Amino acid sequence: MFEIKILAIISLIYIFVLSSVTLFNFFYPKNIITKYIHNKFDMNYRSVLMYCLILSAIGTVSSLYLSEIKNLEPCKYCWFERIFLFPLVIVYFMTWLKKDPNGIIISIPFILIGILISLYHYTIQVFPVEESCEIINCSSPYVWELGFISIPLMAFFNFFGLLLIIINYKILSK
Amino acid sequence: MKIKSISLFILLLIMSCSGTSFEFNEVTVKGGALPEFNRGGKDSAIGAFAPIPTGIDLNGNQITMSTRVGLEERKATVIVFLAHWCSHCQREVPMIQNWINKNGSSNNINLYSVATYIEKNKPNYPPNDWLIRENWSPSVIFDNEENIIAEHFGLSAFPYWVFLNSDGTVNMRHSGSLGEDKFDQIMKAGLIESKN
Repeated sequence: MFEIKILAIISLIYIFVLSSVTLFNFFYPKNIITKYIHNKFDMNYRSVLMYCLILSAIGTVSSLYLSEIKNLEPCKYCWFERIFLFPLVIVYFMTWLKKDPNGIIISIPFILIGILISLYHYTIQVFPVEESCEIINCSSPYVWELGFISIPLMAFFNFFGLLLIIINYKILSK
Repeated sequence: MKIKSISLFILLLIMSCSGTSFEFNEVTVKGGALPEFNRGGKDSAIGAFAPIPTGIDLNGNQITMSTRVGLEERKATVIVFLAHWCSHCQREVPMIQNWINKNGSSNNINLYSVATYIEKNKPNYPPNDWLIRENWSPSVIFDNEENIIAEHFGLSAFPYWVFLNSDGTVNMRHSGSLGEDKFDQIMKAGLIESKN
C-alpha cells in the first residue's frame, strides 16, 4: 500500500512544519516566518475557512479512499472520527460561501472531540488491551507506517492541523 | 514540468496497484474437526486426535502436518496459525524466528505454521511474500479459500496456537500472542514432554 505510505509521510511532514510555525508564531510573533506567512498567505477569516476546507476535504477523501477503494473496513472508533470530520467540509464550505466568520467557532468543538477520539483510538493501538486479532473485527491497526503511523494518528494529524490553522489565525490576526 | 508530474503520478498509481499475487492450492484434511477454541472455558479438545492437513508449502512442495516424522519417529508438535493482516501475527513471526535463530531447530519438536484467512484486500498481502521477507524457517502450509485447516483446528482468533503430544493428541490450545518468554517456556516444556 504505497499510496498510504506517501500519505503518512506527507501528513507527518505537514504536521511537523505547521507545529513548528505555530510555536514560532506563539513565542516570537514578529519573526521572519510570521512575516513571510503574512506576505505569502492571507490570514483573514475567509482564507482560513478555505485552508480548513481544503484540509478537511483531504481528510474526508482519504478516509473514503481507504474504506471504499482499499476496502479497509472502518472500525467503531474510525466511524466516530468520521462523524466529527465529514461535517466539517460542509461547515467550512457553507460559511466560506456565505462569508460567515462563525464557521471557525462552530468547527472548534468538532475538532476538539475529533482530537480526543483519535488520540484514544491511537492509544489503544499502541497499548492494545487484547492480545489477539478477532477473525471478523480486528482491533489492531490496518496501517502501521514508519513504525508508528496508523490511520487514527493520521486522523489526529488532520484534526490537529485544523486546530493549528485556527491558532495561527488567532495569533496573526492580533 | 507538468508532464513530469503526470508521469510521476501514473508511476505511483501503477506501483500502488501492482504486487505479487497468491494462488490458492488444494488442501485436504484427514480426521475430524476440533471444537472451536473458547479462551475462557475448559478446552474440550485436549486429548482428542488432531486433524492431519496436507497442502502446499512456501516452496510449492506438498507438505503434511503430522506428529509422525519418518516411519518410526514421532515428535511433539507446535502449530501456529497466522493471518498476514493481523498485527499480532506480524509481531509474533519475528519473535519466533529470533527464538529459532538463537536456539536452533529442535530435534524433539516439530514447529509448523499455517497461513490462513488469506484476503487480497487486507494489508500485508500476499502472505508468502511476508514470510519470505521475515526469513521464516518453520514449515508453512497455506490454507485454502474456505479456511478448511483453521476450521478443523477450531481457530477463533489470531495468532492461534495448537500444541500436540507426540501421539498426535491435543496437549493445549491458545489464542493470542505468546511473547518470547512464554514461547520459550512452552517450547522447552514441550521438549520435556516428548522425551518422556
